[in-house]
Amino acid sequence: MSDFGNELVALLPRLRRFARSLTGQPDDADDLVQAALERALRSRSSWEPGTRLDAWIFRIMRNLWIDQIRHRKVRGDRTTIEAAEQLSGFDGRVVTDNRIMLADVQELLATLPGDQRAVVQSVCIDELSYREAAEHLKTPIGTVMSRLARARLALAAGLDLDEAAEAGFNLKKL
Amino acid sequence: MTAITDETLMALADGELEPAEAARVREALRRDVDLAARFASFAESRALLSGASGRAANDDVPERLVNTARRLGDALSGVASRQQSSHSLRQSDRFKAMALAASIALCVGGVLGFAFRSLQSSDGTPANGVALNDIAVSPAEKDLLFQLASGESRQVQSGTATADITMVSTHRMEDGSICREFSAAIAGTQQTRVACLRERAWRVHLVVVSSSDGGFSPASGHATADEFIEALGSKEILTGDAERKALVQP
Repeated sequence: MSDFGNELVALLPRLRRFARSLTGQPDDADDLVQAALERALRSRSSWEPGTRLDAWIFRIMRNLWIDQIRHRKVRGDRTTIEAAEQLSGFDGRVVTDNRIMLADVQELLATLPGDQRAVVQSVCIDELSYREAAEHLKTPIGTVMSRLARARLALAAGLDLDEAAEAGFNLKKL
Repeated sequence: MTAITDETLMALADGELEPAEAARVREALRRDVDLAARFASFAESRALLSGASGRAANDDVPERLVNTARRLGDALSGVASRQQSSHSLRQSDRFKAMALAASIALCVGGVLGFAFRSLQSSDGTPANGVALNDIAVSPAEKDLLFQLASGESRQVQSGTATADITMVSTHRMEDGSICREFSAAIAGTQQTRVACLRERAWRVHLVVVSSSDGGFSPASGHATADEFIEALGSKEILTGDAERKALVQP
């Protein structure tokens, strides 16, 4: 198996977890992962060697999920992932914009204010719950949540400014 | 309608909401694309950062996902090595691609003749020995090339035969022209074709025919078509709005 194959197989647990977070349903989540991998296969020329493979596939999966919702809304019924994938709503964002892959989330993290970085570290990397993070950082849970939300919005904006603007992100000043 | 805050969306992405509240927010996400996009950004940042922990989740990954991941890995190895060997494909590579198309045409001989005939408009032009550049598409097929998005299928009457056409992909080429890969099930053969839109006319540049008695399998047909389009100078794959705009009929 190719190195990329090994890397991708190793990435599957994270992909599934992300998909479960998006869909809320384990079965739908695996369908979403499958559809994203197939979409990536067809869009493989949009991947730039040397850039992060995980970020590329996460973005494909995210767009696929949003497009599924868009379709469901337009059609007023339950649209399958396959239909969202095949019909026209799946757009070219992921294949036309490689800039997002160049921004490294770790580098962005380093640019955040210290208190925001600390909550991101506790919750997203050390995997503490909000309550545990609040105790660890000796900070009220509400403050943990608002810092974490600000930090994550900043990261999202850093990863893709255009799309953040399009989605109506109203970024508070850091 | 109760407003949903960023903190609530984030808490849903992080699995911190009570089940009833989570269900309420998920219901709202189903109806509001902007809200869903915002939520997805929280989920995405969490997913990206999760790699930093180095913790390997050891769950039971379905076989189909593993297989597709491996296929994607092989495909990306191809992309990486192609980029390494030549940063941008030059004109000579395109001639090689055309030569490849010609040699495939020779390989499949008679079957291809049929394919070309059924592709052509009924002007009686003999199909065998037709130069590749001279292959026009039928009016029905031309319409489909403009109308169908990638992934869509339609049945067309081509002479006395019925063909099932499925659009596979749409590419914008380095020279700005548009090329499409599509498959056609016709008279017991499975064909993979590449047509390009130049000077407002579709021309078929590649036909790979797979028949039951050997030759090419549909899978190798797709692989050949992919390599062919790549060698012709594919700049990007178009989908959705970008694809629709590119396919506006003149």
